[in-house]
Amino acid sequence: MDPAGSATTPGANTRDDLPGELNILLIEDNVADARLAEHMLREEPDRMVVNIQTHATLSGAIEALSAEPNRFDVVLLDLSLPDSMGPETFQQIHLAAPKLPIIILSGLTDEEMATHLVSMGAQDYMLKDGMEPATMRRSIRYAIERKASSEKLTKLNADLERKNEELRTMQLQLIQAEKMESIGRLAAGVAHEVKNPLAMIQLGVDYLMEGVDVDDPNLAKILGRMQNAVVRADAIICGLVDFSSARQLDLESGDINALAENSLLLVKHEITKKSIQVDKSIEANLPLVKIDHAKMEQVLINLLMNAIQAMPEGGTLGISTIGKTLESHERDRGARTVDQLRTGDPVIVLRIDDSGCGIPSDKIDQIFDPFFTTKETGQGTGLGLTVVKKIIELHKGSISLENRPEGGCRTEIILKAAQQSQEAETV
Amino acid sequence: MKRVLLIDDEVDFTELAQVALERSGEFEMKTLNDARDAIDVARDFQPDLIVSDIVMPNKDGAELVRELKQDPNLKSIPVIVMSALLNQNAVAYKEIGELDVAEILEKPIKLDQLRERMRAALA
Repeated sequence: MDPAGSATTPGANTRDDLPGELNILLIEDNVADARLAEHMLREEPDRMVVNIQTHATLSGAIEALSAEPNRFDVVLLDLSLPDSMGPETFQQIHLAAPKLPIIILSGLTDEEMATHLVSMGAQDYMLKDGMEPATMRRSIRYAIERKASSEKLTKLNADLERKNEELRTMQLQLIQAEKMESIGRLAAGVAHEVKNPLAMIQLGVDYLMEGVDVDDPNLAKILGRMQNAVVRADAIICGLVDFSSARQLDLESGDINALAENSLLLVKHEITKKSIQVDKSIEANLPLVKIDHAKMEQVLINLLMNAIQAMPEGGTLGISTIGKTLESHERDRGARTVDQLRTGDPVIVLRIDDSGCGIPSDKIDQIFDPFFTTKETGQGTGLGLTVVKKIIELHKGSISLENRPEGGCRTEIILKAAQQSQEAETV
Repeated sequence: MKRVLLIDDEVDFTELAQVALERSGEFEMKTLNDARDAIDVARDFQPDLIVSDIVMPNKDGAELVRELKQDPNLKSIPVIVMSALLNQNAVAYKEIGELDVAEILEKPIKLDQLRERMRAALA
């Protein structure tokens, strides 16, 4: 076998793990030392081709390394050069070619430093006074092998860490899914067991109310409070079941604009009652999106009602839709909620703005947490936005909520557009 | 007075609903707590309307409605079903929706609404 003929690319290994053609970068300013080293290196008993490029300065060597980063198999380095001395010389070369094995050529006086540099990442050191061809060759071979193994190990380790991370993420998702599954079962069970007694209290309260003694105003008041309590308990139970049962979607191609218009119609009464102006900005011919109509309608009504409730004295309700390509910073923002959208995805953005009082900045991070509410006790279940976020995540979209600089809140939903455009589908 | 058969596994509920619904004088109520007896009782009582719970231990509301609709003498009686767990349970809702029922109600329900729906089903 002719190793020189079969493996000419640097780094490609022959049977004994040495490149067939050995490319050495020799960095040595002492001409006599350089000659001696070259001489010994060429004294190969096997027919290996040895190419040596010698540089007398650090800057020259670094230039050579950056010009041809893959050319060399090994560096032989004298630490004392005209433009650099000591460990600094090693660090500079190591920095310029982190993947190259470096062997320190050391005088007797700096042997201690040479051993120190080996601990810093140099592969080996050779005492200039004791150089002889066989040890040089062995040192070079071991240096290359060690460096290659350590590179391989680093890569394998990185792979392992990545896989481990993936596994951890999957495990977390699994635990989360299982948790939701059992919460779902629990919630459904609790709902059935609680709503039945609520049904009895409801009928009982109604029965008493119908026959209430008009002479005792407290009786009507008490029954009214009991009635409110039933409604509240029922809303919480419904929210809990909603939250935990929202696991599956009934997806169909849908038009976000139509959905927005329809949802607006459903809250029209509230809008008129509170004298709220509606500022609509709908982009025509948006691509379709895969949505669960009932659940997305639930989302929009929830958000619209939140906006309306934030403006008890009236104000402006903004609703807008646009189609666009997702930019990276938007993805980052979305990633807070879910990491399903990718930069460059065609998306539909739906925004709902109100001109209300906004959300206190210390509360805004908790806004999607279960049972968190900024509404007065008894006014909100604290599950509305939690369910909304859950539904949006099931749609592989993202939702964010922020205070607008001009006052009030902006809720932004980003959904991935379906492949076909609206026109294409109707053709 | 219209004859109404009310089936719910909760004794407290049927007792309460009977008293509450009979007060207006429109309905004559008969209550049952086990749907297994419902067909026999219905044949005997000949109600104008049947109001049944859905989730019950021995026989559920859906099964009862299916049997009622297969019985030539009972199939024309309007049926109202109600449950504490419907809106959130899409599968159950769909299953019930495919049956021939006059009304699907969610518990808790207000007394006046219940009466109204019963009147509508009887009309």
